[in-house]
Amino acid sequence: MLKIHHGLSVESLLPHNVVELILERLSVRTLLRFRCVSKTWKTTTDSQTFQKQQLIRRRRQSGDADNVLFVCILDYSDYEARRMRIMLGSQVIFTIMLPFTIIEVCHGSCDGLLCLADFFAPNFVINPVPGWHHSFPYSIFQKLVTEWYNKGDYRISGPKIGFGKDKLRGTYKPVWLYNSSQFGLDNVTTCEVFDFGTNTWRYVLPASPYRISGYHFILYLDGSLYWFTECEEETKVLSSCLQTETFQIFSKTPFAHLLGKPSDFIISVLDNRLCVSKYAWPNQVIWLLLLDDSSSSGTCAKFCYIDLIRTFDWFGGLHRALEPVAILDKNKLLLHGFGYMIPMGALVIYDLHTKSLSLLYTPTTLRQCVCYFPSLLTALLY
Amino acid sequence: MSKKMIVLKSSEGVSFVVEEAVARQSKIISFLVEEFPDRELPLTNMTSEILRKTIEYCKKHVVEDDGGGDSSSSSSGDLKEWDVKFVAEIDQPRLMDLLMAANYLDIPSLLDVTCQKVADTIAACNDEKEIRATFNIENDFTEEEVEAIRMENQYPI
Repeated sequence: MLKIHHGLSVESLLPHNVVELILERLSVRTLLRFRCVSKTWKTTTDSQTFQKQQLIRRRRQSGDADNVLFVCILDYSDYEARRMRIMLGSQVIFTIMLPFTIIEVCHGSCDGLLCLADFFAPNFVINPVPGWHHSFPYSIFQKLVTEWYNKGDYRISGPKIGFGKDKLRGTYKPVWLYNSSQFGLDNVTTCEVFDFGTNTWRYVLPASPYRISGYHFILYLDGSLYWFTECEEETKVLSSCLQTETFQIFSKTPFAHLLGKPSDFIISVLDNRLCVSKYAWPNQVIWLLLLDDSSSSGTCAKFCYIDLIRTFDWFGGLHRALEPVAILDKNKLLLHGFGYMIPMGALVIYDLHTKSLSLLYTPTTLRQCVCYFPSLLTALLY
Repeated sequence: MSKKMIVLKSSEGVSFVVEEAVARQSKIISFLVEEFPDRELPLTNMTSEILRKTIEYCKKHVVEDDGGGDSSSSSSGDLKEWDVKFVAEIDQPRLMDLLMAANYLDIPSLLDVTCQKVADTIAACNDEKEIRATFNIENDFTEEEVEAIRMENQYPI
C-alpha cells in the first residue's frame, strides 16, 4: 500500500506515470526551459514515448489547431531578427534562423518537424524548438540535377520536396516527385521516398501518371501529400497517401475551369483544409476544397473575397496571390505574399469581419512562412 | 428504490457512507465493490481529510442514471468552473495528496484536474530553483552538467 506523507520529495513520492502525466501538460518552451530541474525531469522529457504523448496531449488541448506559426529566415546577417517573436492576440509568430545554407523549406510541417532540401546540399529534418536536426543522404534526383548542371544544362525546373507522415506506422517520409522527361527518362514522372529505417532513398512505383507542376507548393494534410498536375486540358489535384504510397488523381475538381494559368493561383492548407487562392488584380478569391477519395472528385466552397487595392502601397504590385497561412483569433486571416517593393515577402492580416487589410510584418530577410505546432520530437524512428 | 450505499474507511478508521454510484467513479472501488459486495472498504493510505475531499469531488461529478442521460452534459461548463474552484482552494501539499489519491483510486477526471493544476503551478515558476523549492525536489545535477544541458539547445526560440 502507498503511504502518503507531507514534505517528501515530489519525485520520490509520485509514480513515474504521474510525473509524465503532469509534465505532458506543459508547453514545449516550458519543458525546454526547465530541463535542469532534476535528472528525472530530463530523462522523462528526453524519452521518445513522452515526447509523442506530450504532442498528442497539447494538440488535443489546442483543439488540434496549428496555433503557432513559424516564420523562417534564411539569413545570417541579423542575429536578433532571427529570434524575433511577434504577438498577435493569443498567438505568437516566431522567426528563426537556420544553421544551413538551404534554399528549399518544405511547405508544410509535421509534428513540429520541418524538412529542408537543396539541389546541391544534403537534406535535413529539423525540429527548430529544441534545436535538433538530422541529415539524410542525397537522392537520385539531386544526383541527376548535379549531373545535368555539370553538363551545362540549367533548364531543370525545380520540384519541391514533400514531407509528411505515414499515419499508420508513425514514420516520416521526405518525397521527391519530378517530371522524368527533363532527364531524358522514359516514364512520365519519377518518385523517390526516403526511408529513415534503412537510411536509403527508394523508388515508388508506379509514380504519378501525370506531369506535376513545379510552380505550386506541395502540401501535407492528414497522412497525404498533394500536388497540382501540369495538364494541358485542365489542372488536376494529385495526392499520394504516405501509408500505401499510391497516387490518386482527382479528375473532376470543381474549380479547375476557374483557375487559368498556374501563376494565377496558389494552393495552401488553411484550417486543416486544402485551399485554393485565385488571383486577378485587384481581387483574390479563396476557396476551401473538400476532396472525396472514393469518387476521386471534390467540392469547393468560397471562403472569402479580398479586395487587394490596399496592398499596392505596401507591395507595389503582387507577384501572385497572397498565400493564406492561418486563421488567428477566429476572424483574422494571416496571409503571406511577395511584391515588387517587398521581394523578401510580408505578412498581412485580413479581418474577416471588417473585410479590411493591414500590414503585419515586413522583415528584411523573410523567405517562407510555415504553419507549425511545436513538439519535443528529436528522433524520426520509434 | 433506495440507493445502495457502501462504506469507505480512512486511515484514521473513520467510516464514510457513500452512494455506490458516487464511489464507483473510482475504478478500483468499482472493482472492489463487485468482488466484496457487502464489506466496508479500508483505504489505509488515505487520510479522512483527503477521502472527504475525494468524495466531495465524486458527488459533484456523479452522473444520474435515471435523469435521462444528459444531466451532466448540460452543465459541463458549470462543472469545469466548479473543478477550477475546487483545486484552487486546496493548498500545495494537499493537492499532491489528492492527486495521489486520484491516481491510487483510479479516478481519471480527478487525476486530470489535479495534474493540470500542478502543471499550471510549474509553468508559473520563474526558474528551476523555484520549482525545486515548491515541490521539494533535490537538484541532482552538477554545475558542469547544467551548463552542458544549456548548450544542447543550439538555436532556441
